[in-house]
Amino acid sequence: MSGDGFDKELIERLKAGEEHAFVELFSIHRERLKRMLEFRMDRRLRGREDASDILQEVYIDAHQRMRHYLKSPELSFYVWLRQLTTQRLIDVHRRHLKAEMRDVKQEVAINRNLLAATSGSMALQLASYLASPSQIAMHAELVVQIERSLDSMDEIDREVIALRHFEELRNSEVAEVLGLKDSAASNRYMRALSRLRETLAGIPGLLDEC
Amino acid sequence: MIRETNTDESRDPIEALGEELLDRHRRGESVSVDQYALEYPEWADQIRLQFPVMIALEKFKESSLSYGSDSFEMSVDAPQELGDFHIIREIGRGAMGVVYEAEQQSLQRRVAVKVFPAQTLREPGKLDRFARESKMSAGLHHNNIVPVFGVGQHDGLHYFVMQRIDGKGLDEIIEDAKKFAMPNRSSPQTESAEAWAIASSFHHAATIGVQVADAIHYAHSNGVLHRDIKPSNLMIDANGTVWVSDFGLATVLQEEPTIDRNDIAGTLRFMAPEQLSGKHDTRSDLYSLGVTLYELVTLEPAFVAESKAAVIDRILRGEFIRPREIRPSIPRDLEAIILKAMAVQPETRYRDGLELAADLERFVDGRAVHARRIGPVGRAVRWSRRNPLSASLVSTLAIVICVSFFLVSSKWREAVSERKRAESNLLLALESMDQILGRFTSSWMARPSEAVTGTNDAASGVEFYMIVSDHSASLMEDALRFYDRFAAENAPSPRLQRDTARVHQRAGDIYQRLGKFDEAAIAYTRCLNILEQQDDEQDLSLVLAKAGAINQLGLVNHATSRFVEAEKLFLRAKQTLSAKQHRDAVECQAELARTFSYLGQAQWLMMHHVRARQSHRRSLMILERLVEQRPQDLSYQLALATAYRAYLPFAGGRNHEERNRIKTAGIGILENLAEQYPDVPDYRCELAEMLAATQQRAPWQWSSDLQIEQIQRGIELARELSQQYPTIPRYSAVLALCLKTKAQALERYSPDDANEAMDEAIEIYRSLARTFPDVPAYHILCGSVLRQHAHNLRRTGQFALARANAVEAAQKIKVYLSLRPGNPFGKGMLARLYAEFKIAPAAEDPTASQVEAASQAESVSTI
Repeated sequence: MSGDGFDKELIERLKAGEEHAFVELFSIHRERLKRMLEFRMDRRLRGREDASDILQEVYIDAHQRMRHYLKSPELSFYVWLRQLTTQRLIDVHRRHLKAEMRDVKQEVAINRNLLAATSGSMALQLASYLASPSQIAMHAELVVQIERSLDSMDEIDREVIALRHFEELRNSEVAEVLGLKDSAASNRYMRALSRLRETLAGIPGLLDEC
Repeated sequence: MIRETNTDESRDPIEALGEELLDRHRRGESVSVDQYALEYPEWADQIRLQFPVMIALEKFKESSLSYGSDSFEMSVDAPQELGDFHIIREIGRGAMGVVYEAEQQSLQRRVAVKVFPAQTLREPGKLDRFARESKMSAGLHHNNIVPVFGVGQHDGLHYFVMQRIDGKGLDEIIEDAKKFAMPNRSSPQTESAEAWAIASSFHHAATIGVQVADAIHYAHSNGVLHRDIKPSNLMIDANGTVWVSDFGLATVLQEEPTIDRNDIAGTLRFMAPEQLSGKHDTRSDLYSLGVTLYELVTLEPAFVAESKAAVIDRILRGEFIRPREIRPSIPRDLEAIILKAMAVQPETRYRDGLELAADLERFVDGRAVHARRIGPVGRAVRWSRRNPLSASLVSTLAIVICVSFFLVSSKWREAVSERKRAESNLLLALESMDQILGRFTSSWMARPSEAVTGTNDAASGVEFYMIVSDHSASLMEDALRFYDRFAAENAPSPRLQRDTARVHQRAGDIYQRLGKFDEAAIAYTRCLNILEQQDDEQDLSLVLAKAGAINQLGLVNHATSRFVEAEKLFLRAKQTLSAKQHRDAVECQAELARTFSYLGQAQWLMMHHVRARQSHRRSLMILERLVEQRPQDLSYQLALATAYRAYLPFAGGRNHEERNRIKTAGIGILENLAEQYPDVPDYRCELAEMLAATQQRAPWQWSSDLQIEQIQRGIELARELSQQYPTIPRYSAVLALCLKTKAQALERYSPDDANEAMDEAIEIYRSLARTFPDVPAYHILCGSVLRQHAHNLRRTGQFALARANAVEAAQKIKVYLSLRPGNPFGKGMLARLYAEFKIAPAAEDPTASQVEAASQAESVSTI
């Protein structure tokens, strides 16, 4: 998905002045960025804002700052794009939520660096998968369980899970995004998996068939 | 990567392997935990612990992202019991639920069970609706509709039991065909090839369409709408039979179907434009079928865009690439059918499924289909503008009027039900209708087309107008019936009334041109009746329309020698124009001037010389000022020239200078207009009339060579016009007038030439009198020329012929008198005729010239 080698080659072409390479680069990462937006966007905004529209703006931003980025790339290309996207998303949230400031709960608190994956929203998403006829009765209970499990995690660990699975980042990218060392990111991921396993293992049939 | 990553040794090795596992999983490879555990025995325990969680997390994501994060999706990993139904496997899932193959244990039959997410039916009333709709669906029995066995509930889960169809969704078929159609993609599988065979056979596609249209029609006639026709709801079984599923379910399960959802790829693009605003009727289902067929034959979605909003926008505008532009091999007729089914306006689609099915069958059988691309009114107007004049177009345009009418009607209903938004569309439609009808009016004969149509490049010559004929009159009548019916069926509106009035006015203009004064009078009266209801003194255009109609009615009366009524009407027009606060407006002044001029002519013919002269002077005063103020406005120039001509009899006498000035100015204006606008027949006609009128002279004067030359030119102009437009009596009458004038000029020194001209004039008048027996003027003009001819013939010694002419003259005058009993002109002329041809010819008496002049004027008045 991340295609590092490909990125590298395109970036070289871009540096050589081949404008078209930028379009290609962006389109390679577009899907992932979109998924990230859909995952991070506040539920209340989903009907009103379109991920594609935001990406359009990101595209323009990226194009404008491209030269600057190429001079001294501190981040990998995707992580850089993701950062721009996060900026945009924060702006969008600000715009919409300003009017409803009083309602802003903890879970939509806007963090400068990341739009935190909240236990609640993640739990809901995870649990919604489990709504088979036999499990449906357990549904509410499940949400609570998963939420509790996520809640008990370190905030960063939770974010690691979100990045690895919902945004499909590699370990090195997670490390970049969160400002961690690769080893730290790796360890946090494993730790978070163990914590989740304890919860999920209690649900019959879920982990069996893999 | 740009950043160095040489920290692999410090990473958790299980995590690194996991990354690889996830990569492969995401690429679609089948990976198993066991595989890894076996390959890396030293980490097997950890692998077996952590990897299943990773895979489970991936699955969560897939399910939560593929149908929008908010919608609850369901999954069954192991077979479950659902009441009587033993679930065997999942066979499909959609936004509305998951479909399982199941066995109904009591009947031991395989069925399909659709289970709905619990919360979709949680809202109050929804469950009842669901039960009701399901019952109705269960009542549908059709060869192409998936039979519904019933609904059930188990542990709070609602489900819907249908016959299990062993087939493939049309969406899958389209997808497979796409793969096949793309040559460089993977190896062509047999499935793709089969799918391709379906999609590429247009007959096959049409047959699918026929079956679905049939099914839809059947359901519609049973009161069930589908509301969600799309490829995934159409199953094709091994026999090629199409099965439509999920009838009516969309109603219950989605308040606003799919609009709220984030996925663009969903069913949004199959929704009809009106559906997007929450309306859905039988034609919306046909539209969705149209889009489905579009995708089937093109293998491309009809509506694609970056965002949902953009898709909606395209649907609303009907913006999509034509099928044949994507695949030129698509037959035209099939394309026409699809386009008709997909028309933005429901009214332009097929009336029902039956009609669509029939057209598709026609296509399959190789017969001519009914779908024709008669576009919206706008296109019709453009078309009518671009296409050159052709008589056969008249019937086509009659159809256009029909179509326009329906469009106008539908726009109207929309406007009523939806107030604001459709209102502008309605105005557009009315405008278009108006423009189409404008092609058939007579106004082009009276003024340059650019005055009617705006800034059209005159040199391009693309404008065309229909020859004014009985046909155009009947078209107007048809249109009027439309407007009448329309007005009867719909809420009243000033705009509609104004338009209707205008059509009446146009019909009146046409009848007047054609010399059908009775019909013209009726039309103008109707126009006035409508306008009278709208009493808005603020509205200048209303005031002008009213005054214009009154004046036209006056002219009709004038033309049929009802001078008293004509005068009354002209006075009424004058009052209308001067009583309002717009009296200083230029247009008002111009109409007022015309009114005075008409008034003067009527008054003169009633022998009110003083008043007539006064009226003419006022008219001239206004018009001379207007022409000076706005030299570029042609209508003022024309009005001035006409007013000059009407004033000529008063400008005579001793004041030669005034007469000469008016003569020269009048001819100058008209020569200029006729030269600049050779396409406007009225300009040439006016010029001919002016040339004839300026010949009026005292009988004792000799005509100069210049005068002969001028009248000859008048004859040529009029002859050309009457040949070009034989149905317009005015042009013939002017020709006769010019011929008569020439005869008068020549009678003294070239009696033979005079007789020849006279003969022709008489022939024309005879024909006019025969064609329009109700118009008194033609009879007296004919009688007057016959009498003159009799004089000439007697002068050249042809006594028998002279007598015959005199007798005929007497007959004509008697007819005239029967139409206008007791008329002094007629009586005087008849008396003289008897005297002249019983007794020796007397010297011309001075009153004769006045009678002559009056009859000349009357000839003018019929025009």
